[in-house]
This record gives sequence, structure tokens and C-alpha cells, in this order.
Amino acid sequence: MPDDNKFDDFLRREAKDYNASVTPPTDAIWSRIESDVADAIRPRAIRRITPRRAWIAIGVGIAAAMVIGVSVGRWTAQPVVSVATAPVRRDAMNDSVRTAAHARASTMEHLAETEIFLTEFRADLKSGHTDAELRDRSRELLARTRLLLGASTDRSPATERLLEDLELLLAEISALPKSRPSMDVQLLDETMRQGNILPRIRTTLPAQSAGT
Amino acid sequence: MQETELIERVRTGDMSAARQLYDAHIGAVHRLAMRMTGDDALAQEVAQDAFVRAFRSLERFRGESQFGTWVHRITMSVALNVIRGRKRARARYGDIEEADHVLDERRHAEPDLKTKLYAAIDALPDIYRSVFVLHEVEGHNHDEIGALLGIPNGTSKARLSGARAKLRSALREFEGEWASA
Repeated sequence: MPDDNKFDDFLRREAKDYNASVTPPTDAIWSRIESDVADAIRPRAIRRITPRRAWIAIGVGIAAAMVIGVSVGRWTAQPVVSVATAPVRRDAMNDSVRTAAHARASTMEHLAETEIFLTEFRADLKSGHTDAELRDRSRELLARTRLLLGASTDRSPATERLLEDLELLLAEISALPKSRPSMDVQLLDETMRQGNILPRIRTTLPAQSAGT
Repeated sequence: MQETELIERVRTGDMSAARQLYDAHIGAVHRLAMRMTGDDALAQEVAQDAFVRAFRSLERFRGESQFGTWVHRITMSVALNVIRGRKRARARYGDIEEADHVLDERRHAEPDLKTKLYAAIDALPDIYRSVFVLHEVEGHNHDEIGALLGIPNGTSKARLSGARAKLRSALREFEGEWASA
């Protein structure tokens, strides 16, 4: 209809200037983020290494060494396995069982650590306490959640959904500004409660350890 | 000084370079945040968060696009998160009627058609305003909007159509003015 076209033209023409001339309070905004920016751009070498980070780095190192050791062991065992067919199948089965068990154990360990973190975080939310280390831990847990989600292992749909929800929640916590606007804090608390995050982790943990 | 040089200096921890980079882009970032949220306090929060995230992940910025484009994308993402958060809050408290009330007040208070249009855009529910702003103001197509908002292409089209209908309805009594504008 001609009127529709006229209205659409009017919208296209006039909407371009929507909120175009708003002047931001440049200095005020900068003053609120200055310390966060300083922290963000500080070269890595002089960033503070927290004891927790050090432990995680050690843990990752040990895990990497174990993976390399197991890989080398399997590779050197291959000629023996190739002689007989039946042991190959048994070994392959054992391998897949071991891999699945390892994946379950990693997931369980990760969920247990995330539960502790979220419990502490929730207590901090209530007390209004601010701690930069919480954001660092959240980022580390987020990275591990993504690693687990990226790994193709047999997981129950419920565990998969839980990991996906944790990914979103941890991403939000990681992005929480230092000043912690009350709206963000309220929404995070709400996300945790509405998503039943902690109860779901707690019910998943025994189920995982039972091998389901 | 070239922007790439500024970025290099920021990467070494130079705060004055960070401030220069911030000064060069705060206007565009805040404007986008204002358009997306329709609220000055929220827009400031979005701008703050967007800059902190941009500086925090500057190591990952490879210079394949302009810094401004990159910050624009971050701002969009932060603004959409804020809008989603507000949607959740509104689901609990509900203020769409309040928004209509604000629109009515502005409709009678503002003499200028453009101002009336902007007030009507401000009063659009978030799901309509975000699509409208992305399409009509920021110039994104429906495929891009779908990817940004995580909605199907058809939903984006439907929301744009819904936004236009709501705006037309809000400006109905000024039909003579916009038809001849």
C-alpha cells in the first residue's frame, strides 16, 4: 500500500538519527573503568599469579604428563597387540572403558570443584564481598567446562545440559565488572536459583560416581 | 598517531594510549549502547563493560578488522546480554504497560515529529527495538541479526514488521505529518 511505503520511507529516513547526538559522560565513564583497564592491559609477566592458579597449572602439567605417558605406552605396546586378534579387541574394549571412566571422573571432579566455587560465589554475593580472584577462577572453570563440552564422550543428556548451563553462568560471572552493578548481581543470583544449578550439580555428582 | 601503533602501546601496558583509544571510540560505543538499550544509565554500563572486555581481550585482536568494528561487535554483544537480563527481570516485574504510559506522556509533551518517533522507538519492547535498531539504524541484514540475536531469519523479519506496526500505531494520530514529511 502507498501509505505503508510512505511510512517505511519515513522510518528509514528519520531513524538514522535515533540517539545519534547523545554526548557520553566520557570522563565519568573512564574514571569508573580506569583500574579495570589498567589491570586488563598489564603485561602478563607482571600479572599476579594466585596460589590457586599455580595449583591449577601444576594439575594441568601432571595431567599432560600422564596423557603423554599413556600415549607412549600404548604406542610401544602396538606390535604385541598386532600379533593376536582377540587381545586386540579386548585391549580396544579396555581402552574405551578406561577412556569413558576417565571422562566421567574428569567431569565429576570438575563439577565438584565448580560446586565449591559457586557456593563460595553465592556467599560472596550475599555479603557484597568483591574479589578479583573469583573472576579468575570463574574463567579457569569456564575454560575447563568448554573443554569438557568439546570432548566427544558419552554423557547423559542431563549432564550435557548442566555443563551447557554452567558454561553460560560462568561466562556471566567472568564478565562481571569489578564494580558489580547490583542488577548484574541480582540476575546472576536469579540465574542460579531459577536454573537449580547447585541442586543439579549435587544430584549429578552421585549419579556420575555410580557410573551412570 | 596510527591506531595500530596505539594498540601496540596499549599491549605494553601504556594507560595514556588506552585512554586515547577509549576517547576515539567512546562516542560510537555509547551511541550504539543508547540505541540498543534506550536508557542512558544502562548505556553507560554497557559502554563500561564493552571497553573493559575489549582491553582485556586486546591480545586476541589481530587487526584483521578495524578496532572500531571490533569494539562495535563487543558492545553489541554486551548490550544484547543486558537486554536479555532486563527481559528476565521484566518477566518478573512486568513494565510494558508502564512503557506505554511513558509513550503517551511523551506523545503529548513533544512537539516535533522526530522526537515523537524517537520516543516511540524508546518505548518499543526490547525484542522489537533490538531488531529495529539493528536493521533500520545500524544497517544489518536479517541473516546478521539472526546470528547476533540467536533467532531464525524469519523471526527477525517478523519482529521488524511488528516493530514497524507498533511505531505506526504509536504515531497514528500524526499520520498527516509523517505522510507529508
